[in-house]
Amino acid sequence: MAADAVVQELYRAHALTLVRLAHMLVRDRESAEDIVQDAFVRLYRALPRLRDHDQVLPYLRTIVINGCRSALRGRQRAARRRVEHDPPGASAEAAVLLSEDRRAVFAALARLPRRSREVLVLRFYLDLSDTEIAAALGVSRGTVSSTASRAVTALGRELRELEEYP
Amino acid sequence: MTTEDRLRDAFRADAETIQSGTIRPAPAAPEAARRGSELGADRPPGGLHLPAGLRRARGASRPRLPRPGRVRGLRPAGGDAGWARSRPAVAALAAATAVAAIAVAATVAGGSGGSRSGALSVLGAPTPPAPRYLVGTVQLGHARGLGIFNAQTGKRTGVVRPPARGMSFLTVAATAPGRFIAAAVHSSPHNCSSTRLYRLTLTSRGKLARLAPLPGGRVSGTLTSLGASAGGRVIAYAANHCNGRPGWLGVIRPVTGQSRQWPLRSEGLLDLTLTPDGRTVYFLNTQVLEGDGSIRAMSTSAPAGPMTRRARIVLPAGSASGSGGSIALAGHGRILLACQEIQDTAVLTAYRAATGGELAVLHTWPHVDVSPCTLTAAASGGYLLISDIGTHLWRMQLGSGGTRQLPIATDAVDQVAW
Repeated sequence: MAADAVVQELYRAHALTLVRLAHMLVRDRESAEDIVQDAFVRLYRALPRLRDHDQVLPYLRTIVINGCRSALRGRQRAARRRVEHDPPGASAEAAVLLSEDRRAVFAALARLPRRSREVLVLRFYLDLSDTEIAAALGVSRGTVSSTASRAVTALGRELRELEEYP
Repeated sequence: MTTEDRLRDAFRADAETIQSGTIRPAPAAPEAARRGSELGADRPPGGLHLPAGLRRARGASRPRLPRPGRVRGLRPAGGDAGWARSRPAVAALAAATAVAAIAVAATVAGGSGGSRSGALSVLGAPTPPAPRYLVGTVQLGHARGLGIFNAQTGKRTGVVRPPARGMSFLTVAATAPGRFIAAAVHSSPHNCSSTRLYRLTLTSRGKLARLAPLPGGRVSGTLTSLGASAGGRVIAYAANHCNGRPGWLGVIRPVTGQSRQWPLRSEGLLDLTLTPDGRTVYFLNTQVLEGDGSIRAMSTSAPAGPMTRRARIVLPAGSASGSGGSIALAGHGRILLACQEIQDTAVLTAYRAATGGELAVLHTWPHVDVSPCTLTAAASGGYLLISDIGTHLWRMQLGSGGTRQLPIATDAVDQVAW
């Protein structure tokens, strides 16, 4: 199958999930779609060298996560330099559609360290195993396990604080 | 609704705000890709990692951890003045009791850079044979089962499927060679409070001989750590509440049916280990779970009540100035082994279990961009299993300090015991 067809098929199969994944991390629809588009452009270039096609989806996930990190870093740099930029809050559409309780979850999530957020999204949205999360983030399974435990505990605490002191 | 349930619900709702057909179409292939040129531009931004399989496919070898050895790699963690100070060779560990003369000898290798190697000599106690089989949690379809592996060949000799549909094995601890305690939990978050403990016995050929529920082995929470005394007369575990709040440290005595619990307050208990006689439980009050990083010990006969009042500090916060980590006991419970992450180096250190006095740095793994190693002492003593570091499991013979890579990839198993 030609590379074009392979990528198109992969896009049909996984783009929506990846955009949703990116949206959960960057909280901005446009950025999320940009990141996923960029990931597939990179995939075109990498495909000839990917011997193990089982690695394509993990590769895409990693590129998307790294793209989200770059986007968030860019926002932080912009904020430090007082450059006008869109706030990294939820998009208007998502804000309307999400209930108050769910918005509280995302608000609490935003207070967590970057790796914690990533582990929680990969575990509880994509339902990835610790091994798959470890591969996507480039850390050990032990780190995933301990980060997840810490993150769930911290998230619960943040949620309680948000509920007590909204 | 638990925190996990709220997360799943929020993620599901957020995902539904982006519907199929509303996202942009697939990008067109870039010109360079159509020409098939090698751009080398597929590195993720920021020089971040790629999946291991991809790295291998591209011919770029994965950065490998140095092969552990008795001398090489045993050097102070860079930048930590505490490790650079001169330490005397460790003298004999005066036996608090006159039963067994346990001595610890640390051989300080000369040479620049302060390289040093350490070995624990258990005098008068010949090293038992290395465990033949180890058991670890493995993925079996949608559930997690247990895999039985030959520690010499790495071959999987048996599989233990979860005891009931919808259940998964969570963790395992050894009570004797070929005998284990395993914890199984319902996979559904709605059944978080249904953790059950099982006894597991292997045949001499590494097959499952028997799997039976442990009397009194029902735990109403999410298990975070499990330990067992020699023979399995005492089982210790740490559990969190279903909502993720700190739960309790529990002890079960299957023979008598007694159990006792100590609620956790500020402790972040992730890793615990029991002395072979089951009288004392050591635990790492890990910073990973908001603890202070201290290593503490508590009598398993302590009155029920807040653990902060019952547990004594063996190593105060900051003495082993790392984060995360794992602990194990050796030398009949008299030597405490701790693996801590200090900057980007994993350091395996031996301490006096009674006093916390440092005995020797047994090994360091520099440039480890992962969590510190996980330690599992063999039920028969004399050997340490080191996981979560590098690509394979490692075995250390405590008497000589010699290490050997086992032919079992860290990807193959998760929680292990032997």
